[in-house]
Amino acid sequence: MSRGAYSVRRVADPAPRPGLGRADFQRICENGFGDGHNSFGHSLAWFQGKLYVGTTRSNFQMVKIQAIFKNLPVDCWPVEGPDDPDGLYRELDRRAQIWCFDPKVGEFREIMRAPMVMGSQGEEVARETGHRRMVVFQGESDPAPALYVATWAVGRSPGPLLLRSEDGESFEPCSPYGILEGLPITATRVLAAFKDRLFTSPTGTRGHGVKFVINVSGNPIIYETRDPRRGKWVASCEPGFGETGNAGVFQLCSWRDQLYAGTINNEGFQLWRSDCEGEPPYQWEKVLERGAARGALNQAVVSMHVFRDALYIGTGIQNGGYDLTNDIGPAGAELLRLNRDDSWDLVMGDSRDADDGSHRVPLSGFSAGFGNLFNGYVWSLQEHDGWLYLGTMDSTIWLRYLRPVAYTEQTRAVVEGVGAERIVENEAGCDLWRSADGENWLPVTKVGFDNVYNFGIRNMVSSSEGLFVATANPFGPRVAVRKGDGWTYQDNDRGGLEIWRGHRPE
Amino acid sequence: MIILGSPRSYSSLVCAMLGQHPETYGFPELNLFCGDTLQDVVEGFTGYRQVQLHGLLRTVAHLYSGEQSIAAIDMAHRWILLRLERRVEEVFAELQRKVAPRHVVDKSPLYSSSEQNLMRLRSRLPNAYYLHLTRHPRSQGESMMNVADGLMAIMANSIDYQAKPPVVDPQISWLEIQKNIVSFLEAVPETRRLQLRGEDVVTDPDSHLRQICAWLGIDQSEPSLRRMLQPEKSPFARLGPFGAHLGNDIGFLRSPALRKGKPHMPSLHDKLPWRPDGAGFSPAVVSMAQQLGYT
Repeated sequence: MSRGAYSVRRVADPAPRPGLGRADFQRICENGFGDGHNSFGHSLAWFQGKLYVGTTRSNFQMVKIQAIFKNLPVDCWPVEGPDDPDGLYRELDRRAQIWCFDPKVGEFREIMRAPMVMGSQGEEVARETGHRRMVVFQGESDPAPALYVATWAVGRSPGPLLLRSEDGESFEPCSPYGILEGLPITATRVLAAFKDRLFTSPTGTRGHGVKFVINVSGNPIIYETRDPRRGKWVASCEPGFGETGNAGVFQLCSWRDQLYAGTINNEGFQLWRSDCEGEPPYQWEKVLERGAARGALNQAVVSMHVFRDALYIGTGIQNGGYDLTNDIGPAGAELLRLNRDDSWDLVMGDSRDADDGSHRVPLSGFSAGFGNLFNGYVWSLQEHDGWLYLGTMDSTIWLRYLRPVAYTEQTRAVVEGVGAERIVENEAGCDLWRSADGENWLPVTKVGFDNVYNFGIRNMVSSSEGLFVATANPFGPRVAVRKGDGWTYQDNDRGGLEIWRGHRPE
Repeated sequence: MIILGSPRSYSSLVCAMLGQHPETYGFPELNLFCGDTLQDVVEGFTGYRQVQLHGLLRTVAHLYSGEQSIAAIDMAHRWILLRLERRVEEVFAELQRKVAPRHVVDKSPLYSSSEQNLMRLRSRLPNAYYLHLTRHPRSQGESMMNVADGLMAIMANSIDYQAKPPVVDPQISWLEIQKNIVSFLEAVPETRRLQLRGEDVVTDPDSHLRQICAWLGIDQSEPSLRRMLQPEKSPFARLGPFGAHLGNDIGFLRSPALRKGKPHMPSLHDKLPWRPDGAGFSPAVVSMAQQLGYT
């Protein structure tokens, strides 16, 4: 320790600044902005000093009539809703909304509600029922960064659009229906800016004959444009990167001069990357396959985020961690980390041997789903003030409605032993976790901010005004409750998306 | 730098003071070198000894999350579980890297109570500096006996079985520990060992802290010294959360500020208040105390 000449350096405290705990979060929107049909905070953006929230409406009413859920063994469907598609259009206001929170005022204001347009069956329908993605981007003809919003069209609507706003007040379509002319899709869950271009990939199919109608378009291609306002989109990769198992591109994320694309694949997700240089379609390189040696149980890349110069990858199985269509799951989601040298770490997940023969143990000490089978997605990842925050989709609340026949033998033993309602009361609700180093994780909440109906953290955005968290809460406006030996629907004042603001005044 | 000494001998206070120096980091009682692997250590701290893991838990919680909460302690348990098979020097090195470029100060009194622990220190940390911090055996014994009616002395098996009936007597562990340390330090190069009376440090902290800084080769400027006079600013200078509330001396945790002044220096020759038979210090204790500068 002895030295000759020296100078004293002020060394930074080696401990990280404390992250946001449960007490640092305040709810700034509840009950779906007072309308329980606003189910998901499906998109979130920080634009011109304000928070923008795009809603998707009536999700569980919509899911109820979808073919793959028709035979779900439930005692009672969780929310009141029509029994057929016609009812959806006839009885519900499905017009998606955009809300804006000005931190200076401290209130939300509704900015936009989707118009009604002529539908495919000669009746007026909501042009869009959801806003599935927002991104701030400046294209070639944009005088300044604009807010772009990808919509989710109802099946009988002409199709999804890309909306654009320069001022955060007026949102106008800047694409044809389908976003790319003629594409038979309902939405995109992907918008990513990279090298002065905007990238997207279709999600959700209009029509029939494909298995994944909600999440997969049958068109697993990444498109790009330098000018979304003028709509010149071109394909930047070949379909599915040339592999038929890639049913869709679920996530895009830029890191170290490369664009990374995570797929949904029933043999396990794949991760691809390209520098997107030269003429499209570009050369793409496969980085991971077979769900990082977990196979189908890592069906899709659900979230990606760069933190401390590594790429964090959140996985999941569609339909909340149990894909009934393809009989995959149930299983908890994982968190993986791709390092600069292309090695990968199992941060949170199930121990296993990797393809190179090495044995991987979760660096966090948590098995998949943070030890909770029902954490079916790592749905969102966001850095804020030096911490990585992770939000899950937790389907525990379904135990309240499912018949035991729905469970695997192992799950049934647990549920029957403990009691479904006791599990719901103590465990239901999404998780929000945080880590200062990406390896050691602490919970902010494991019970949906004390609301069992907040079953997912769908989006997060970091800003100078705090960390904003948007939940998915499709349990409104009227939810099923037990009454005697049966069920009844009653108003749910905890149903509908919530927005939470994590903030610690200096 | 490792502080060696008996329990209740100012080590928590001095470690926290040294840890406030801009070039050092003061850990609470890590107790890492009480086994060859972390699993050895953890398995040794079961039952009532679980508290001896509190310092490591608090350290991990603080360094990896910036907080010492129940959730952070839970996280620290997982951190430990993932490293059970590692050798303790690897774990120590990981914590060193976490606070680098600061130099580490560790003050685990358990090291001094076992020759085996001391030998482990020597082999695993061959370049460590050792501060032998002492306290008068009478005031140290009184302090030991003031904790839960002598529980600390009982835990250290400091019992005179020759007496009828046997008597809890902290001078036994005091002597054993001092003998361990003195014997151990004989093999440590002179440049890397220093003995100080704790009473002298609290009586005249400025000059003694400056002496320690000079010995360690770290900055002795006024700003650095002033920082060291604020041990209460250590993140480990307060009670920790449920499940990891200790990790330092309980008296220090309750009242961590430096109280300057000259502590009463008692006699080596009077009767001992904790001995119902009116016995005093054994000749060996008196001899060792005199060797360490007490009269």
